[in-house]
Amino acid sequence: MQNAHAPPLGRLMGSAGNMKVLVTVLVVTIILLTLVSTSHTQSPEGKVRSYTIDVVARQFAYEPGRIVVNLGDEVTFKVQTKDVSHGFYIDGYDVDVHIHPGETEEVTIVADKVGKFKIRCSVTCGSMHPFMMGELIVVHDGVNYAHVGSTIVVVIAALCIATYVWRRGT
Amino acid sequence: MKMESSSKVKSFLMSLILHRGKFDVMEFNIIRRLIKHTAFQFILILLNLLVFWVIILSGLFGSQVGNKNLSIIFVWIVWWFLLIAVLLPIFGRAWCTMCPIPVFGEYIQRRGILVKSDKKAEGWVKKPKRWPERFNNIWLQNLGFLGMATFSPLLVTRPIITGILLGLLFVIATIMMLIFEKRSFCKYVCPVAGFLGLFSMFSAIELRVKDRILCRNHLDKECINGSDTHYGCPFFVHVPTFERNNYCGLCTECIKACPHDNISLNLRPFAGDILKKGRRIDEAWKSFIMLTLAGLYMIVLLGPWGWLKDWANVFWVPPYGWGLANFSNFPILVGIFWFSSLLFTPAIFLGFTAMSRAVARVKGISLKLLFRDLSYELIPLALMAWIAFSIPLLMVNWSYIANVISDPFGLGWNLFGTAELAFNPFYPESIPYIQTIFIIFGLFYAIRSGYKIIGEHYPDRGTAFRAFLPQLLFLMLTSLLFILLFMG
Repeated sequence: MQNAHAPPLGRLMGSAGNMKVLVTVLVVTIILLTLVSTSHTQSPEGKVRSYTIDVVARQFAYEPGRIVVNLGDEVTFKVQTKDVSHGFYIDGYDVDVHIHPGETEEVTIVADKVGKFKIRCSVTCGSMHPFMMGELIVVHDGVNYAHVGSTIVVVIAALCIATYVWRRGT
Repeated sequence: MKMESSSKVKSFLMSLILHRGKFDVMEFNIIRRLIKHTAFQFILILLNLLVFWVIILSGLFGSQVGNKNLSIIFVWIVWWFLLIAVLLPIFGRAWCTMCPIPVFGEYIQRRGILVKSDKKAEGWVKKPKRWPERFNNIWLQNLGFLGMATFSPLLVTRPIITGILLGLLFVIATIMMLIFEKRSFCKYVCPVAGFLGLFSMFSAIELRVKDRILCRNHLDKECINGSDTHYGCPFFVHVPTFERNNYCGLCTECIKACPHDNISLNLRPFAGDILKKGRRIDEAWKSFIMLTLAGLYMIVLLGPWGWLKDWANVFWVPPYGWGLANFSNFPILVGIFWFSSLLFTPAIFLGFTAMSRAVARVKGISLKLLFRDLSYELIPLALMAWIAFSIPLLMVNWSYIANVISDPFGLGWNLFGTAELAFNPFYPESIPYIQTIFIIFGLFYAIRSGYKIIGEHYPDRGTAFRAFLPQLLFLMLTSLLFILLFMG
């Protein structure tokens, strides 16, 4: 129902106004998130760090569960299993190796995308297999810009929505 | 008034895309004929019943490796995703239309399947009892769902537990319907119906009467009492006057029974029921439970913390008995689930509600009523959080669906050549961003609903603005917590 005391904007937009605002907010959000997700995908100029991280897979987790690296780092994962065969799959990095008991698999990536990337088990290893996960966090100068960017987008979206709702009245 | 075809399509599209006004989908002849057909619901239920039985059999007798068993994949990935992300936000309680669980009890109650029976209750099946008045709420459903959620790592990963649960639901529903009248199981006990009812307040579909004056003047009320050929509402809904989706199971009996064709199935804007009257404290707690569990599920099941999964991974020990093993830290997890859902989240929300009342500086506003009413603003956000949780289930594990279609029992079959399809998540790196978009979608409706609810208590615009600020802060912080789980 229209609020007769709402500013002209509220009266003009009519019952479809909510949908228009929502679509606008969502489109802007998608654009901003796309910018956030694709930003900082270039390796920074300067020194590239190379190092190795030991990862142990077990039912139903990776140790360490969270791995934080810097954008541009060349990271070699040396993966072993503590119990049964597991997989080591990293979202967005074309990594999928299978690790069998008694073996060590090495896989090297260049962390060229900022954000959080799940590490998943790609070999059926037991009952909780679908929920066996780790996380690879790629930061730039200590900042996870994907998280920061998304946070800013959500805050801006909330404030825009609140402003719109307030202008329309109750 | 019947519309011309072209204007019908235009109105339908305006309603669907722009969410402008309401549109009775039964204006389309084919939909009206389908819904009014006696066999409509029966056919949907029959199809589901067949699938359910295959699922139960595969759960009980198939491979106990979860991702190789039809029961786990089809119930906890396919059905769950379709239910929470497609059926519920758009079609409300449409799952209840086709749910096969109460079907045996209902057909025994009615003494018939398709045609309304004249037979009376005889012998050991006596006149059904009324559900006890003191349980005329959704607390059993709240606690039932919380109980299921507590054991969810066991439930969603062990085929035999899924098979037993579904079988038990059939048995409980049937027994209840032999004792209590109509769909007492669905309305008061079914753990799924509890959250379907709450979230259906957000959905884009509603079943309502067209002309209330016509209903008021029509004394027979076939929509409630039934007609010679059709049954009345089995969900205890007062069809002529009800205004919320919560307890309507979309069985369409009232549509079939109404002699005046006075019931419509409307496409409508989202969140159409959140501002309606009839708010209850048990429903308020349901919103806290669902919001909290969405977060806890993301932390425990989708998080990287192996020790939490160890705590949750309590398991059943066949064939040595019915005991649960790995109990060492499980009680702590139970405490976390129940304490957070029933006490912690409501307490935090109460704090923010008290802040709203304090900054409004208006006397005579009941904190309890404000707390109860404002809890409904959480419904859109909670629903979107659950959708956000469910998205990776499908996008990551879709290949298991193809596997079990070819080998439903995990016995080494390959019916359609897809049993060996490799694990191949679908653009998983995009998941956090898709989840964020859904949270923002929920935030839009949460803020909008919250501000309007505040306006019910504080009509003055300036006061409403002040009072809403703590609510805005709560909604933003909650959304940012989810973003932290997705991205941080």
